[in-house]
Amino acid sequence: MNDKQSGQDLQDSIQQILAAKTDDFLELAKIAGLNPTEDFAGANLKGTDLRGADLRGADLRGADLRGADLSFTTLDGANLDGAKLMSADLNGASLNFTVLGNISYQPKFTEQYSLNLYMTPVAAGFPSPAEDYIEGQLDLNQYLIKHPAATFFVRVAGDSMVGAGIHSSDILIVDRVLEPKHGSIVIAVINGELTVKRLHLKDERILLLAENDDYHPLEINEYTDFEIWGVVTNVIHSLC
Amino acid sequence: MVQNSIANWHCNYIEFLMSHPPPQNRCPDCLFMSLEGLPQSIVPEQIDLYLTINFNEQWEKVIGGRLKWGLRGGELRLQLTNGIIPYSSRELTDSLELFILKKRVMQESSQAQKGIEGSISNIVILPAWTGKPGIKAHAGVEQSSGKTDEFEFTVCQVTTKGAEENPAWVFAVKTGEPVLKGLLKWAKLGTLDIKAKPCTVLATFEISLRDIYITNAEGLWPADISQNKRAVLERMLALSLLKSKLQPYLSQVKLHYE
Repeated sequence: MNDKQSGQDLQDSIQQILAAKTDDFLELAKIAGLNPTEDFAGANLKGTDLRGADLRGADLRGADLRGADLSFTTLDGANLDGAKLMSADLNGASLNFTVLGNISYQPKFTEQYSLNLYMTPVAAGFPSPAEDYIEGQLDLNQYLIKHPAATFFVRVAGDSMVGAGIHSSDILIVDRVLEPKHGSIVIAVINGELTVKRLHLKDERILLLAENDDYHPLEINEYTDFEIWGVVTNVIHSLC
Repeated sequence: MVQNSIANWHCNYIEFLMSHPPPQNRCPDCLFMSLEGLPQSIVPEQIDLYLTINFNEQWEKVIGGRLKWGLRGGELRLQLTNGIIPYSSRELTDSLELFILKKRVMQESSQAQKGIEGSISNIVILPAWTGKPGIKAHAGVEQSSGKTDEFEFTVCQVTTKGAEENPAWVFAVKTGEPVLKGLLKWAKLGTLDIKAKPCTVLATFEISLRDIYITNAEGLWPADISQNKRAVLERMLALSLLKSKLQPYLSQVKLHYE
């Protein structure tokens, strides 16, 4: 990089890319004089938008593709050996003959992991004969989480909500978009401490109720530092 | 007889340790490599080769700014003249720990490990499913004679390939770290069988574009550009760096034995 001419060329190329109206990855690579099928092995492609790109046969060995959007990208015959794909979106991506050896991968939320859903209800009383009738596919992510960007999980410690089916060590799914209403089970911060309780709104009073007689209701008044973080939508309770 | 043998051994040892010319490390902050030979006392025609190699990140001035880069891997290639390293005597073919000394404390100090999760009231917030980067680096503490060394180490995978006259060792980052960092000191590479004299060893550490990883950039582009533009610019600069400075080799050591 000591050569003056190549330094000037490099500066011109940087300016061209910065000034480019497009953000299309392949077009930017072309401006930079890069070959997208050869020059991105081992590259830092974190968070890139590669939606719909034609990366057939591309050498992406060891590339860092964490958080990249690869939805509907054509990766047929591409080599992703050793690539990092945590949180990458591969929805609809074409992966025929793609080398996927030794990748590190944690599916992004939007990916579907559907399992068979049987139509016959499970009898909680007397057992009924099993029927091999599949109603459709069930994706737990889609079923349990309506607002992915505003959803978080918490683990419960304590027994104040056992009456509502919430036990210690259970995991709660909390949606911050839903409006807390009378009767909602909420995650609240009271004077800097987190708690899960049922919200009671009546006669201009705000109460947080436990579902266990051993715990007294908490009344919120003007001196209470109080904030609701979200509404509990589901409980994950392990049976084993 | 015994004394003669010792004298010869000593002479060979001194001769072989002389590298001609001195090792060339073109980017010593990023990669420092040295190779030394130690004749075996029983069979002087067999030389044990020992490698010392240090990886780290390096800043590089580029036009109006600078960038920091490191290596994700590379190949150590040996060209042997009048000698071979038999397949059976090749070593350094496994996962290696590269150590980085973070801090040396000359007196013992008590360290309390603190948990990373705190329980607040009756709820603990989970790290959840946001995608942790995995094991980033390992760390440890070593105590000896009144001093405490705190170190980190990254894990490097080494595989070997090539013929007995041209063996090669391929280094690749294995842990979650983006680049190789740390020191491998005096590790036995293998045993050289001398077939005739003079015997020479030309060791080069070579890299390709996929081995270069830019970890930081300053003064080259605004911080708020898109990830696509950032990725393309980094790759373009990595390619330019490779062509202008890092080829045909990053480090070279020559050993000569007569």
